[in-house]
Amino acid sequence: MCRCQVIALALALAATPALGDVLHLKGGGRVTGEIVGETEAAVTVDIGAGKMTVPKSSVVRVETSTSPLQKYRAQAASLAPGDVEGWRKLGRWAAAQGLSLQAREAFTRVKAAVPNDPEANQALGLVLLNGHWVTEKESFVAHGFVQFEGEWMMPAERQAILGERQAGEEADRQALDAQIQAEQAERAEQKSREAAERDIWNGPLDQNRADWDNGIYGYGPTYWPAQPLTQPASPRPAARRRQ
Amino acid sequence: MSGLAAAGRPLWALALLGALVTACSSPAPSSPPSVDEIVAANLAARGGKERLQALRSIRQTGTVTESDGRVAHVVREIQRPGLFRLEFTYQGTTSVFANDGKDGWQIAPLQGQFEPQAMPPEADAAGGADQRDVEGPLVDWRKKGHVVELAGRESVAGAKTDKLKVVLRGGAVRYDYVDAASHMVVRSDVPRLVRGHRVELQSTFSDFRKVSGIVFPYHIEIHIKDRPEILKVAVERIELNPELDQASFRMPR
Repeated sequence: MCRCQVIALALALAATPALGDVLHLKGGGRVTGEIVGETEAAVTVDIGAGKMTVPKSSVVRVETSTSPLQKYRAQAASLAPGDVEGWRKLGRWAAAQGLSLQAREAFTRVKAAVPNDPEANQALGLVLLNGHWVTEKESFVAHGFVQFEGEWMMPAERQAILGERQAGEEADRQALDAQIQAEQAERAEQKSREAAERDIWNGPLDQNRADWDNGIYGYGPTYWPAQPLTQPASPRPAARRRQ
Repeated sequence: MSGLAAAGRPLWALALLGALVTACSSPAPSSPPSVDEIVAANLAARGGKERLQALRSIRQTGTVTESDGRVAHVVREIQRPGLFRLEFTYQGTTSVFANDGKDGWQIAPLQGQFEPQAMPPEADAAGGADQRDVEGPLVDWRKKGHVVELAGRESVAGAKTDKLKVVLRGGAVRYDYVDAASHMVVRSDVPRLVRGHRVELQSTFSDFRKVSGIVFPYHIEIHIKDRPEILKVAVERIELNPELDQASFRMPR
């Protein structure tokens, strides 16, 4: 959003502090409701189901109008609590506008006056179970479903998911163990290769070993890297000491 | 803001996308002995192959109702070649899921996402070529690189159906149940991976109506197999060959 757009947006917001607004986002997203707050960086909109804070950088334009939410609120304020048909009509209208929470509110009024009203109960997400209107959750539980990570399913499916995860974790652990072992083996082999490369007395000169150390002189360096490879073994220092 | 959090449940959106998408490409009916005969009868029942091939674009408008009573408005547009855009509006907030024929993207204010974002292929329910195919995958399926075979005969809601296994080019699989009497596809099963667990998304189609000679389902119910929650799609209006802005399918930069 360029500077001029920010200014235009700020002016639009400043001019319409309490009106219904449509915030148009890039790509066609929209947020409709009542602007209830604004900072330099963001706009807060009451969408009737809570407040949503939208970064100004995401808004391409603001359209001011009377929002369905405002119409609902105005209409609701004019209805008497016991006006069943008025609330029913308003509930249907709100549902048609996509204002689910407002529709729920209106049908709650209908149910308060007529507890077994089928339309109101269904609009509230209630289901008929053994002659009683119960919540969706109650009906799921009654049918043997369990809730697992926010989703309803039969216990067998939950068990299957847990089993899959356990098997997956076990497979991951085994794969990790195998990887560690492979790396350890590789390191050991590498170490061995490096030791062999460092050890210049390995290989063809091994036969001289007996000349250097017959086990007579106890522990000590068996090889002397400074020793010219082509020369025969020099007199043993220990033998000299004996002399 | 629990209302918003609930409204933004990913599964809900996923199911919605899958449902709407599948609904578009629903085909037709019969119990003939071969796949070619079943498909031919289906295309004839839908209005004929020529009519379907003449479709350039489509716009469907309707509502989606969750089993707990929440309602969203939806508008779905498909245009050749393989362009897709779905808008759904809940509580005055409009989210967009689109595919430009190659890549998917989305804007989801209810999930706190106000900028267009590319969708990873595994999350792009409209990414499948069949779901962006305005005429449906059964039209010229061989030319499109799909494989269709008869996977059995099953009863769906008491009606005899031929079960077609459709292996789409790219490997994705769907099962279409073609009613033996009406030759319409009355159910589609699509396997999906949700949080690492394989589930089967079942969409059932009913209330078939003709629009300019082509038959579409106006009522669709979607649920995950063996689970109780149901998403109901009520199509209110279908427009054939509307002029659509190609730019609206591309992710804004």
